[in-house]
Amino acid sequence: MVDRPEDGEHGGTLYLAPVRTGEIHVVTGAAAVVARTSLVSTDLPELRDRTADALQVTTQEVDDEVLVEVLDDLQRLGAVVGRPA
Amino acid sequence: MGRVQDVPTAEVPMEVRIEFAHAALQHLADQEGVDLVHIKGIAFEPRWRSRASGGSDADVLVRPSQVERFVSAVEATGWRRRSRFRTGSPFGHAQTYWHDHLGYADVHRFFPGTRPDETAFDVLWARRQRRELAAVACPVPDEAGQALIFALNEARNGATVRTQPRLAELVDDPRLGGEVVALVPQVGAEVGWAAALDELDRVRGHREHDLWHAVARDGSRVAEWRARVKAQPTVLGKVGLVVRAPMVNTEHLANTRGHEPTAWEVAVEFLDRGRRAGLELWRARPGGAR
Repeated sequence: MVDRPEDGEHGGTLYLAPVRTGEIHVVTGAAAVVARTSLVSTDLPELRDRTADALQVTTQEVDDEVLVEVLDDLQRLGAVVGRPA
Repeated sequence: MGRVQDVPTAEVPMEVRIEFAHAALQHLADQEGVDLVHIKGIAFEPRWRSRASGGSDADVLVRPSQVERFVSAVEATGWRRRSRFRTGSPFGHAQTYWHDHLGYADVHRFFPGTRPDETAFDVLWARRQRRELAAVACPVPDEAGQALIFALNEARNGATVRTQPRLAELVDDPRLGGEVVALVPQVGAEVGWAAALDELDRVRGHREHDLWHAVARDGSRVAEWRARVKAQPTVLGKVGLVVRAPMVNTEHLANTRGHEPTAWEVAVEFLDRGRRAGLELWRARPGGAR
């Protein structure tokens, strides 16, 4: 993982690659914030709180479906192993 | 909300690609039980990078006795060889690899200007530090090791304390400069260090002197080959070099042509090498045109 929080749109850019294949995936904007936050916890309420805090929005503005969608992508890439409760 | 994108849909900066290359090579080393240190570019502190951007490839220095095992593992995991140790440079120190996702990597069996044996690696390995590259802990030389490798690399490209301000600063630094001077004999870097100090004449009697002079100062291919032969410590090594000298480096030819060279292209290059060598020798004769 290579994290560039200052690059690109708000939320920055996170680059992910499995060390075996080296195929690089790019996570940008709010999805990058979710990805960063998921390194701390994949527990959905905590993920929602931390994401809202990082994006400086209310927790009501964070859509759980989108969080789960991003986590699915990250799990597919092998970047997270846990799933939200 | 942003999405997860695949290359080549999204642009991946060169330095990010290189960072992943370092991490992938370290993962392989860990898997194979191989000792290596990450050198040059983004593996080093900005002060000891030859280019501020961090270069264009990932360089690793592998324990000499484990090189064969490591390159076998590298070649089994999507890296394609683009040059060989013996033909890659006058020093014969590195093999270049290409990975479709990670770009270029140079696997060094020794660093030019240091002894090509286990003892020089042992010295750098014993003083290693860790640097996180793409979230993977990678061993790197300590500050003095980084500074010395930077100095040798700069010297190989013709720089000296008179032309490279960072070399001058290093020599003038009583603490770090002193540590580097103490490190030089431990890794057998006397000639390369003398080149960095612009004092090659001081080591004129050394076997490697002519090679450093040819690479850093002279530049002619004939002088370089003569020096390569002289720098070989064994008769067998000297004979091997003389036999290989007229041979065409087909991997280099493939890289410059962008395709595997045909038999005809190899033959043309073989004759052209002879013509160029003859021309250089003619010009180098006493009283010849320069």
